[in-house]
Amino acid sequence: MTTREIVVVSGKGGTGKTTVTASLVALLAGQGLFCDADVDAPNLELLLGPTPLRDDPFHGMPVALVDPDACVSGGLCARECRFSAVAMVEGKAVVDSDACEGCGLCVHRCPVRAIRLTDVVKGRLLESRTPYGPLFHGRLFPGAANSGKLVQQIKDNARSRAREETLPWIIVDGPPGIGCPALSAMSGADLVLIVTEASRSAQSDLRRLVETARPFRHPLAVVLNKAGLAPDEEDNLRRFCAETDLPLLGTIPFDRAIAAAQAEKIPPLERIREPLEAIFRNVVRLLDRNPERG
Amino acid sequence: MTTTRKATRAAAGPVTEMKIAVASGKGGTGKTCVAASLALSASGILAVDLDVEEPNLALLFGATPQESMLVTRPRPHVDENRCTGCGICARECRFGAVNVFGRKVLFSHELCHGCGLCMRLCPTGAIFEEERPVGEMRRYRCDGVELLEGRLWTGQMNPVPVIESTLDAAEAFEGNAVWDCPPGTSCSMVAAVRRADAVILVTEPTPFGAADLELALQVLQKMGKKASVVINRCDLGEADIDGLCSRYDAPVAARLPFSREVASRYASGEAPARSDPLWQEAMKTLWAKIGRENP
Repeated sequence: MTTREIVVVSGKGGTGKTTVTASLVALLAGQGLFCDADVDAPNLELLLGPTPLRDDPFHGMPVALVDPDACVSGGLCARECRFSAVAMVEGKAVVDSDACEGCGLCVHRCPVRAIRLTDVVKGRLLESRTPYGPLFHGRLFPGAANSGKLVQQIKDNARSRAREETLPWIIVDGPPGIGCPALSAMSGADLVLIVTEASRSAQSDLRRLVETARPFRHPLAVVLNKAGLAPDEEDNLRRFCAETDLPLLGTIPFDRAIAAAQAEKIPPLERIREPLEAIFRNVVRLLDRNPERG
Repeated sequence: MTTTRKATRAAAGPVTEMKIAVASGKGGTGKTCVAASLALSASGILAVDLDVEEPNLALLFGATPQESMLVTRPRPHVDENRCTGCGICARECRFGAVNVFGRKVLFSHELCHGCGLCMRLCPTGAIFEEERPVGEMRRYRCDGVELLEGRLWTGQMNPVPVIESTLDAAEAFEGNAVWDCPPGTSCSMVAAVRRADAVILVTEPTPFGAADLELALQVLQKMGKKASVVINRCDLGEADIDGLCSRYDAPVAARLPFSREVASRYASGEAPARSDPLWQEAMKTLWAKIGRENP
């Protein structure tokens, strides 16, 4: 049996990515495993009530570390670092491990070999049990880089578990934006489901996300959330989807009750069961049309 | 000329020479609405869009760009006549951005961080660098607000160089500035708020809003920066934002109730302070507080 992986992204934040993901999780309870790949604002876990099973350190790229006793205060490392990660403090080189990208230039340039690359814990890799199935998630320490690498490790862990247990679904709550964590989250997906709203801002972000994802040939589809707030903009969105061959799998009406459901920390599926079930049927239909991928 | 400009601006705004970063942790809480409204509620403001992955501030001004400047970063190239195919560059690159096939060197520019290591290590000096665009900056002018926008090009992985270049360009402006920052708490958010004089965090009283606000407050605490908090849609959710704010010593500076009218005007590209009296009042209060806290 093959495992199908749906990655939910949005470009713009706050369009309802996690609401849609949580609803898919509730629909697929017991049939899959779930990932929270929004590692610097992890919200899916808040809805699923996880019981922790594993908590491992996440190492980013190894970063430079200066031995202050060996440092002869030449300052070459600070001058040549392209990322302004090395500063001379009281005559000694000091590396800002959040700014350091781990390129190793300073290691090679230091005339007295006072610098080496070392592993630094940049976050946590987590695995939990939830009433719906296993949850793979993570936490990036505040201000840290390498979120793309953490996302990739979360997905790798989820995929190997899905293979072991022959689970049919992996549902991933992705990060906002179009940069490295979003690209990492989308990689290898059977379907990238973009949750958008009709606002001009969200549409501009949707266009940029589609432009980013298309060269990777990810199958893309759109869900319109918070429908009913701006009918003219919704027409523009429908036109854009039609023109760019982007399937619009369904709409979820704007509803104060959905926000209220989130305030109670329950997956809001019950409030929006009908549109969500229709969206899920459309997802399955779309995946059945492209069965050989993955 | 410069002094005249500066004097006019200093007289116009409630504070002078303040760089105010508007950030949020969670996306979609109303960060861009607050940034745009704040900029519209005083005169002579430079609005800066640092949310370079999804720049939307200009949409709320209805502005069209007047000028665009490229943001470039150095990327390596090889002079094939001098390359011996020794492979040191590929072996030492920590990002897997260099591959050597026989005597042919191939650079993957999308993986390259532009660190310059390969060029430094090449024993025959065959590697040189050229500036390649990774994004752009756009300049807009609308309703007395000057707007500078950083825009990462799609397909580029790293937003930080575009944020840094946009901030460098913004420094030429004398006067108050409002910065619309990226969501989250990772490297791009840190790069955006690092040079600010004051930080405003926009949140909502949902469990998501509260959890992400706490992460943002932790980052700022680590950076030694103080924040004030705006609670948007303050009547949608029960999370104890006030308790959280007092634990982190971050005063709540404004509360804005949910309004269907504001939401649908925002959808069509209108900043709330243009028409909503509650937002106009809240922005005045915010400017006054910023002025008091940063004399």
